[in-house]
Amino acid sequence: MVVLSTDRLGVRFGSRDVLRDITLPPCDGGKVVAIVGPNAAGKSTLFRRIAALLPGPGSFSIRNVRDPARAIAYMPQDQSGSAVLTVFEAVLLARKQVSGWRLRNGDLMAVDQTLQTLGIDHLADEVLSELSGGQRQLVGLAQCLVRDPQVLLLDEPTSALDMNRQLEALSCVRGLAREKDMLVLIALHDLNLALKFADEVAILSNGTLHAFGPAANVLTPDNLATSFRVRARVEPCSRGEPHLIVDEAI
Amino acid sequence: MTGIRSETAPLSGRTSYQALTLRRKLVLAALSIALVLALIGDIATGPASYGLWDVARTLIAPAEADAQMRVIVWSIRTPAALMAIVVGMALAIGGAQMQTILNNPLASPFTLGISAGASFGAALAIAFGVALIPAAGEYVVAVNAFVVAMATACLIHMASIRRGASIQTIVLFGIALVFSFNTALAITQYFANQEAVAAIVFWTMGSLAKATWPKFFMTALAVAITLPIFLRRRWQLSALRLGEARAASFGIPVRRLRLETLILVSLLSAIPVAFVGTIGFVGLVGPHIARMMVGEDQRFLLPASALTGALIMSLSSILAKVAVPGVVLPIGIVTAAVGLPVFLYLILKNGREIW
Repeated sequence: MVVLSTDRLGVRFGSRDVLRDITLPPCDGGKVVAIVGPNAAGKSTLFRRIAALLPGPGSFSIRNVRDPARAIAYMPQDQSGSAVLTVFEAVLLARKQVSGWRLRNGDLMAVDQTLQTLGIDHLADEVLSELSGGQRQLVGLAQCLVRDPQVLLLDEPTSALDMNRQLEALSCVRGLAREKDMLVLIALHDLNLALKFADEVAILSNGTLHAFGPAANVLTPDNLATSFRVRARVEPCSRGEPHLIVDEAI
Repeated sequence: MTGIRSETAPLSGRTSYQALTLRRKLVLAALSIALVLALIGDIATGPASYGLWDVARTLIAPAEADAQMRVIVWSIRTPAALMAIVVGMALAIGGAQMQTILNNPLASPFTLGISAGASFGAALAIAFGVALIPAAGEYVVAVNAFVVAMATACLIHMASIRRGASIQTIVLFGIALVFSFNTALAITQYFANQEAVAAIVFWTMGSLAKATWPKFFMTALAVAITLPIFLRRRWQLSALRLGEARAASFGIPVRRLRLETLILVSLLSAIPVAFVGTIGFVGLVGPHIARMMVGEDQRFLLPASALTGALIMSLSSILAKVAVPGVVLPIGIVTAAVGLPVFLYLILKNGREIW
């Protein structure tokens, strides 16, 4: 099973530490780890560091990698871009970055299957530039999944989705994580989604790791007050599931 | 596996993608046939009016044709017609790749000053015999054109990677480069002798009149070297159009890919300029027409751009010979007259629907 270990990861922009000493406990495949934190806490920077798009101090390692080229797939927040490509082509393009030069039938099947899994197969022939923001996000997610990665880094993949699709996309990702022993790191703004879907939650604040652990242990009034500057509490709802209620900003 | 509910599609994406691929292959085939016809038409037309059948016979069996006809068909018309095709290919491929890497619908070697830079470099050699690279020998004009074209490409590259460089910034920067090189060219002409001035003027208009077999082979070589490199990187280059962030997230070394592509593009734009002078708008319009027909996937965009560029040049070459009876217009004037309206259309459309 794939295991991601991080050791004092950091990123500097000029003389400023944007990310500092991030050491997460080893994260196993099959799990969903939510990365939460206020704006500019370093969530995207952490993803870019792990995706090897940014240099910096510290190190990370991924054990039990099947194929280094496709070990990690990273979905950036920015899903703009206005190419005259169909959804099918765009997803195929993502697949072809890691699966050799020639187009094979297996590539086409993989694209079909990914689109079906995410429920966007009806968009296959649509041109990318004509999609809505939410549809683009699902295509971005498909571009990651079609590469069959072992570690999936999703930077706010559901920010433009409606409630129904948020829930369905996240349960789909979690299902795939379990089924394929894939480790999913996912930046989320909605802490209730983190409570619902994440096995573990990491709170980033000011570029450092503020807390890490099961959602119920980490999303405490104290942690939320210091990192998010809100007075909030997690309480069981009428169905007995934990729910985050925010009372006021501090 | 949990899946999101989907509205049922009549066909699977794979099936319709295969249909799309087939359609695109047919477009490429149709373009190739049109190009062959245009080539025949181009060889058949000219100031000396020979019948199509006579020309064909001279092409097939040169030994049996009369001497004058053999010279005209084999040493003048055929190299010029083939030159038109490879120049069109080189410029259109160069334009397609500049539009791709700069993510800019108005980019082309001509609009961003690479052609103007090449002209200036060549003019230095024609007017003063200045060799920018000493060992250039008899290809000093071509080498000069290439060196300045590449320097220009590097300037554009540096401007485009600056933080906050927008599409407009790069286009304006390119226009500034065009003006700068035109000024430098004017200064060169002012100080050059009359003979050199005539050569430079003739050459800034772009003309196929001086096409020869060796020049054709060298231009063809430039296309033959660069096209496979681009095709080899087709998946990466296509991905650039998804935006820099996503291309980088695919693990593509975006900056290096851009720089290497620009160097190859400057080769593709400098060599035609060095041999046939400035030919505008083919590199801009060709890729756009190709994109409208086959989309953005480089597997089809590249060959379609090459064929479209070649077809535009070939048809322009015919037009240059028949537009004014008894006169062969410089082809650069024809491509500008045809390309300018398309260029304006692209600007006024703001690129939304076609880009």
